[in-house]
Amino acid sequence: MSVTVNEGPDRVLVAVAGEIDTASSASLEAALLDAVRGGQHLDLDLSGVRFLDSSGLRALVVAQQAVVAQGGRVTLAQSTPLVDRLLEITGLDTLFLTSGSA
Amino acid sequence: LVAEDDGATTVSMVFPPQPRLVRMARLASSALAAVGGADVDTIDDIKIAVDEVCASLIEAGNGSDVRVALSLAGERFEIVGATSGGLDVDPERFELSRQILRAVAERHELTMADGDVRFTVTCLLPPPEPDGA
Repeated sequence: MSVTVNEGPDRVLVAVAGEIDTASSASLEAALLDAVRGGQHLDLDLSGVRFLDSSGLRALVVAQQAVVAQGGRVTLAQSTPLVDRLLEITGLDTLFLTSGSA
Repeated sequence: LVAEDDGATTVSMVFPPQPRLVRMARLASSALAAVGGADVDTIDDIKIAVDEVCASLIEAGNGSDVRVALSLAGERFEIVGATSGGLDVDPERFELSRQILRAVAERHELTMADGDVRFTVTCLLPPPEPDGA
């Protein structure tokens, strides 16, 4: 898994690629929390995610909660059919704005 | 270990409870499902189911090895995973895991007995399209 962070004054874009599973989810959670510690809005680019499981979803939820607690918003800027399906299955799609709704 | 018996092909694995090894189980399940003629979407669902079983067993176990058997018999793909321990897992992740299993599997069952935690998950492969379809 790789995480790329592009930080702006009001928003931070985090691009995640690779497999997000029980082996990598803790690293993802730490990277996301570090990226949003300045209180910016978070834009997620998950278009490079090849695999995602409940551990990875949990990391996304923890980050989303941290951003919202600071008054920010999380936007799912790019995704894949697999990511979209898992978010929908678990009802987590409602937690994230999509790029069309931001 | 790969075995064939009564029309079923079974891949059995025993591995230490290390998260990085779950990928190995995903790859094995993908290969076995492909042998059974599963399409890409079904293979994805099976990989997800195997991952969820292994992730929960690693989290739940007491450090004992994780035992996984993947069986393909006709259109039926069964995942049986077990380890020694209880079910001391992150409840929020585990609820997500159960929601995922409900969606990707035909049925799934969790049993705890004699100090073991055991998941049994059944996925169905779509029937092959008739010739000429």
